Amino acid sequence: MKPIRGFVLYSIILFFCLNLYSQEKKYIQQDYDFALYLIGNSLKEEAKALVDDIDYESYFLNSGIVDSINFLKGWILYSNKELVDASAFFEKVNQTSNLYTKANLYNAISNAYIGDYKKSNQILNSFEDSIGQYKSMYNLQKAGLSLLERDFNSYNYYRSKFTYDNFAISDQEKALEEIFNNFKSHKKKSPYMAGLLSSLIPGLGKVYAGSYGEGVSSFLLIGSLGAITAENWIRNGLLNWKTIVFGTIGMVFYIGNIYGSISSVKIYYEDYNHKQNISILYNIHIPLRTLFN
Amino acid sequence: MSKDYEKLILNYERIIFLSQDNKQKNQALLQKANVFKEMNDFDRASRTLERVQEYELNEIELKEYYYQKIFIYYLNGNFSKAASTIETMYLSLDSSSISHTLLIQSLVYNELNEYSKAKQKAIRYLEQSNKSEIIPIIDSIYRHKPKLKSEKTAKYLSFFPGLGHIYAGYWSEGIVSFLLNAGVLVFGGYEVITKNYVTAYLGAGGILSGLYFGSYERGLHLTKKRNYINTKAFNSNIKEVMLR
Repeated sequence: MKPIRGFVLYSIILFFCLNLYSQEKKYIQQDYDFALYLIGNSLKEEAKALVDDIDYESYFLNSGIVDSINFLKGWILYSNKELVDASAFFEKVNQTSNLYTKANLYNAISNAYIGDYKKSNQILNSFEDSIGQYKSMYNLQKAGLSLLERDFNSYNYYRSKFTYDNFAISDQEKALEEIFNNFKSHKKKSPYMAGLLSSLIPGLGKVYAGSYGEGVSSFLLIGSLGAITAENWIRNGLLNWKTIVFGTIGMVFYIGNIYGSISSVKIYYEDYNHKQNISILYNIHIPLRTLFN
Repeated sequence: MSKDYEKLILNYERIIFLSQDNKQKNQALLQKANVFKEMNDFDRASRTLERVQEYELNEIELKEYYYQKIFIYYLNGNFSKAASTIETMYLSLDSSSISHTLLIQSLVYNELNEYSKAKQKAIRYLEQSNKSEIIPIIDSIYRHKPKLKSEKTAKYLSFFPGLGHIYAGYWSEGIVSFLLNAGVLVFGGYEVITKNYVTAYLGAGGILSGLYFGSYERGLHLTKKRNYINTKAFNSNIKEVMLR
């Protein structure tokens, strides 16, 4: 009798613990589903409150649950574009967790968005050996990072590993290829050439930098001031007040136009690089959503 | 305090997420909207109320729902949405049962410059709340409604530099604008007479075009500003009397 009683007691306790553990697992899944619902309905403030609300003490502290919580928090913050905080949670996911690869891929792209390409590369390099089925995703992210750093040799190395046959990333592989070709064919503009052109013909430097409207306005304005100054100089002499006033204003605008043309090229490059970076980041981010959401 | 509110909001949203019952969801949405109202976050409050499924509400709930919606739109400065909710309310409910909304209706119509409607609602509200002694005051205030300047008239008057400003009540600015335009015109004329054609047409002409069109836009802007100031003062006065 005693062994049978012991066996029954043990079974009841085991059943109770398993039930509790599976309820706990269901609760975590509920939080995942709830987070997806909040993000899908653009309830960002509520999603942020969920991050603060999920508290480790509510669960049995086994590493599986802790890693799930950390990943969930990181993912919510990532979706809310709070990337620094997201990265901190992704880093807490243990190497032994089945969420480790996902967490690292998200962490790498979070740091790429922040602009810390070095850290992003370090993260990707740190788990290259355990990448498994996500090899093509890894290659895409490395290729994207290479483009962000304008390291075209490194890009060519990872581009050679593109397969173009994975539905989740083939479009993005082609998009990165297009961006690379755009970089190669892009004609470089010199700020000093812009300045020189504007000193010869006001506004021409801005046209060279791609600001056609501004170039034409500068030409008309400085041209008009120049013509007025010339007329007054010829008719009334150099010391006439109209010659001095219009001449001074004209000279100020002329010098400003040269400086503005030099700046236009710098602004043009900043805009161009910014647009390309946005496009690269978009293309390495989309497959994460396709595969993991 | 705000963390407690955010936690409460999250819990209401969790109920909405988990519940299969539309009535329960509606209750949670209404409570959530109330919390946003407490936090003075009227934008989120109005967006939450817009998620409520009206057809699931009974008559009592519908009355309260419409009142809250109109009130929150009013506090959020969204007066046209408030007015359209008032119209929907009258289509859905009997007018005798929504007399508690007369005050907010009056305030909404005031903000939309629909003064005859606003006055009608105000008087009905005062009669029903036994404040009939205030009716003569309201009546006298509405007899001196703000005289709004016509933007169309301002547009035509502004063709003459400074006249639009003066019409809007900004005399000194109008005179300055007129003198500037006239001065540049005289300068241009003088340059033509002295045969400095380049200075006249490019210089004076260029400056004059900038001044003239700037003055035109300014005249229109000042008219709108004057109307806004007068309307705001009038509405504040009405609000103060109605809320005594």
